[in-house]
Amino acid sequence: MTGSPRRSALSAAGLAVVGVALTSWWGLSQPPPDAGALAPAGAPPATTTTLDAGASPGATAPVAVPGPVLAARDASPGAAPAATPVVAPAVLRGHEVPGDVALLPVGVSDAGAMELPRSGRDVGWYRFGAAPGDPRGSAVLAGHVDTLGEGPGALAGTTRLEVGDPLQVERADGSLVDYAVSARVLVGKDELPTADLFTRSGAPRLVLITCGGDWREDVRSYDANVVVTAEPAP
Amino acid sequence: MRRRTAAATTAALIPFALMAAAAPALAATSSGTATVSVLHGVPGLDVDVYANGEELIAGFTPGTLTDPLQLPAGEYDLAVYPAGSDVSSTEPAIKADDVAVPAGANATVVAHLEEDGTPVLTPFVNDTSSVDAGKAGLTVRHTAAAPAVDVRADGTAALEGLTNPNEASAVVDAGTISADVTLAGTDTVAIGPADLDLAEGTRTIVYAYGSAEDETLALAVQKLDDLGSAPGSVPSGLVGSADTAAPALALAAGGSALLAAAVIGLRARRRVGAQS
Repeated sequence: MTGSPRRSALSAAGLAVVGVALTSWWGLSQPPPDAGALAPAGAPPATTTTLDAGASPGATAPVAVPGPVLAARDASPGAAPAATPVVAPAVLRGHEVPGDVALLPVGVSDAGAMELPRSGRDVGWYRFGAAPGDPRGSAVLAGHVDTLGEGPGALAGTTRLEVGDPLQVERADGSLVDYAVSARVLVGKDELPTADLFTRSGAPRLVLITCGGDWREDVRSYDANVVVTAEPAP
Repeated sequence: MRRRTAAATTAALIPFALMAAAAPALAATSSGTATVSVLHGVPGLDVDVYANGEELIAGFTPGTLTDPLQLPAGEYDLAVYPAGSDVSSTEPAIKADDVAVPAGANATVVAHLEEDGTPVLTPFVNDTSSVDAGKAGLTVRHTAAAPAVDVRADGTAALEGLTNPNEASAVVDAGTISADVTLAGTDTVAIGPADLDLAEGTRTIVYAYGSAEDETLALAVQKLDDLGSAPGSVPSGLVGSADTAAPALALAAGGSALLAAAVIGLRARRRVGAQS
């Protein structure tokens, strides 16, 4: 009888410590509220050229000479002007990014999804879209938030980015492109606005995508994407 | 981008509107416009092309493709003359009346030889629908005086048994291929090889034209850009360590633990109180 108040006090204290720890873990694990809001890609920069290699299918090329006579070009294979060479991005660095992260060009998986580098330490650049530093279009970088045996991926910290945070891409030719975060949001997988995020027209911007939200063990995937948009820093 | 398209369309139409005022024969017979390109696929003859009696192309050389033109939709009488002809006193080399140009269509009108060598004009409607992410569209049109052919990509038959004046299409992984044209069912190369850059998000149209008998067979290429699609998703997490749902259980467990601690503490105090 005499020992029971002390045992009770110890039990109560122990439970309280455990309770505070678990509750704190819950609090610290909650995704931070969205920073900014996803906006569609801005208007493309003004251009004075009318005949553009990237023009819409025939619909925008005006008649070159006033009057009835049309210009005609050599249509033999190889006669078309070579596409402007793309300067691939090589390295990502910046706020909440662990050091210099290698950027690897990636394409499309058999399932029609964006391919990603196998290691979470690397980040993929969607090679069919704009490249960082291009005058227009969204350059998309994506990487695994976690992988088996490696722990958190290079983009795991993006969930903590805030509006205004700096990011930088170093291109293959050594030039640097600086960005400032304009939004960081959590979007349900089924609501990811892919057409806008991957657009090749519109104002130039950087888009970072990784997974977030809840892990669904039944389908072995997350139910949301963390999406960051960043605009070229002035 | 859409705003720019509308402005350019208006700019392209203005010359034709003026022409229509001067020559009512060129006015549209139905509303709307179409995008039309013209390919000269008859070897050995520079020509002038007339539409509804008005000169459309002067000094058109074989193997060349016009830039796309916005035309009022309707029916057109087309006539092709040797370059520099006095059309009032010359018979056209090729004539096609009532060629339909439907509103909203994207078409290529091809001057070419039929299988027996007769020169003719054929309008082809171009597919401008989107291509899946990572892919490119390839269409081959047989517009040559030649028998049925196969089209090979990197040595493997991709499109088979194509005859004049038909086309065949495929959607392929984006990339560069070495293409050639063989007599159908054989390895006898009739045209090529030629490297084709099948860029992602584009549709490439390849024309086989010319004459097998005259040994003038050749390829012409037309490209339609900006037809790409985005990937459907970005699956980027493999082991659930960044999960934000599991800690909800922590909150429940933590809350229960705190509640239990409070209850034990109260009961302990009550016992002590009872003892004193």
